[in-house]
Amino acid sequence: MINRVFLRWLQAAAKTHFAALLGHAGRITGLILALALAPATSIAQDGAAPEPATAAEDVPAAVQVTLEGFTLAQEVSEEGEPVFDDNGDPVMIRVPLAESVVTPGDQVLYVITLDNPTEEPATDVQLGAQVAAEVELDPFSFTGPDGLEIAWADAETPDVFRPVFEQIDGEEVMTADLETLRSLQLTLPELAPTEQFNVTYLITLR
Amino acid sequence: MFRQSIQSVAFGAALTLSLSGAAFAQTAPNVLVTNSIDLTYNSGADTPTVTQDDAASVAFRVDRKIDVLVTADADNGSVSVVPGQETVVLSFLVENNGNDTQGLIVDVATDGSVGADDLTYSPTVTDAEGSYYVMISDTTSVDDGVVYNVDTSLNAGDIAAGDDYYVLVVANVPIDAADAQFADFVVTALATNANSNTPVVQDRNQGLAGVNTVFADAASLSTRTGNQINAAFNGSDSDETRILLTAPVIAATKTAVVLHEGLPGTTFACATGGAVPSSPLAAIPGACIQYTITVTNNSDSGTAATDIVITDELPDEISYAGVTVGDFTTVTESGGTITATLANLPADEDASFTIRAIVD
Repeated sequence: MINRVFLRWLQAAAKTHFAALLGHAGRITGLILALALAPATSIAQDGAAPEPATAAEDVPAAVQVTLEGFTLAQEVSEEGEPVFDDNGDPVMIRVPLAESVVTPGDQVLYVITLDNPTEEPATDVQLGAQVAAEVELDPFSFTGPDGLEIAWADAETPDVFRPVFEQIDGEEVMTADLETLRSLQLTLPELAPTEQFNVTYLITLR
Repeated sequence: MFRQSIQSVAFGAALTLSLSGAAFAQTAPNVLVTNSIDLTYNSGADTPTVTQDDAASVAFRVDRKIDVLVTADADNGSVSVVPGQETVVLSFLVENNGNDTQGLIVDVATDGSVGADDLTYSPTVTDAEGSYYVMISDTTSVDDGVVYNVDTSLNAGDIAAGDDYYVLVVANVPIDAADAQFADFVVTALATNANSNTPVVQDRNQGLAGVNTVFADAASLSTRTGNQINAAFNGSDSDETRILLTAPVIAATKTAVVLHEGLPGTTFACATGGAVPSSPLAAIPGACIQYTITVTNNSDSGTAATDIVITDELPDEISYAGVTVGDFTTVTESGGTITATLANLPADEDASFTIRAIVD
């Protein structure tokens, strides 16, 4: 129960800071804060919160992954006025897809949550995510834990993954072809026992 | 005076718009967009790699976006015309920026006066002074258009997502229209369901599995005033163009003065000599007369007059002696007729020249 309360607190904190996160998250490194601010694994698509495991026999034997989708809407005060943070940036809130309208030009935030409830570390963790032809990835929107590597592949060579960001002349350059990008490969060296992480990214419906 | 009229059109005959290619392709409504996650990892030194295909997924269905955009093709929202000008074409580009095929009901409202009366709407092509009619066209040319009757609220023709067409308002300016008179034309396009005269209704209650219908049009502001002329998110859009009379208003005056009476024993070079005397002289035979012709441009719209030509036939009772060009470009005489030209006369300015003659 304490865990659920703590996670809900994290979600509240995330709501007030998410706009700034979206605006400035351009690198994968140094995103421990994003890990803390992302929604908890226990929050399902419909908002229901499953009870945490309490007995040894209930502990899953494998790493758990969930995927959620949200649209983003600016928070509105009780007086109906849009809310801005101290920097003048709009405060955005997540609206579950089930409650959202999505038309071309709209953004969708995907939240991948990976949880290792086992007693063994998971190593060479690799996530494969589709990127539909109808959407365009925002490569600068990624948030995730330190050490996360992001690669992409197109439809013609779906097994050939290349880094989304590459070092060119000492600078980190986004080299993915967003027109042909159809899948992502997210790699993390290790996920320790009882730990979890989140990866979030935005797409725009074409 | 504000006129807002709607007329009907034979829908099937109005348009078969195989319009130009889409400016951008948007995802069509009802398309299911799915994102699924595969997971692999190792756990422990002696265990095989764990693979979970389709470990998680989420999907959404693309909703229907209604976004109409009307843009007047006029600099600064105004078109300058002159009295009697025929077939003044005001073009309005109507774009379907939504992601679905839709129809459009077109409305044209007018405000202002040009000539003695308000401009009169005609449901058919006309060249009558003081009238206007409406066409739908895939270009800005009336030659490519089909007359659209705005008096009843019928679909002017379906338009695919990303396509566009033009609404043309064709006006004939009356000859008695005066400088600085104007008439405003506001064209409004309202989205209807495809192949229907029923306006689209916004519907956000279909949930994740259904297709919502969402109005995404922005508010329209007047180019000239900045005032809102159409609200946002209502499935319609408007823009306006002003017909502005910009004719120069020319007034001419002609005055005469006797420079010299020509009495016996006196000499006077009538063509070039002397000046206007301080006291009046008699216009007796032999006297030298000076005529001064002045033109003034009183245009309230600030419109310059160009290529002004003045002709003055001298009476039989006097004989031509000479001219001074003054402010004019050229002044010539031939057979007792004076012809003066002026290339340009700005608003609120005047120009003069003089003619001299001897009383017979």
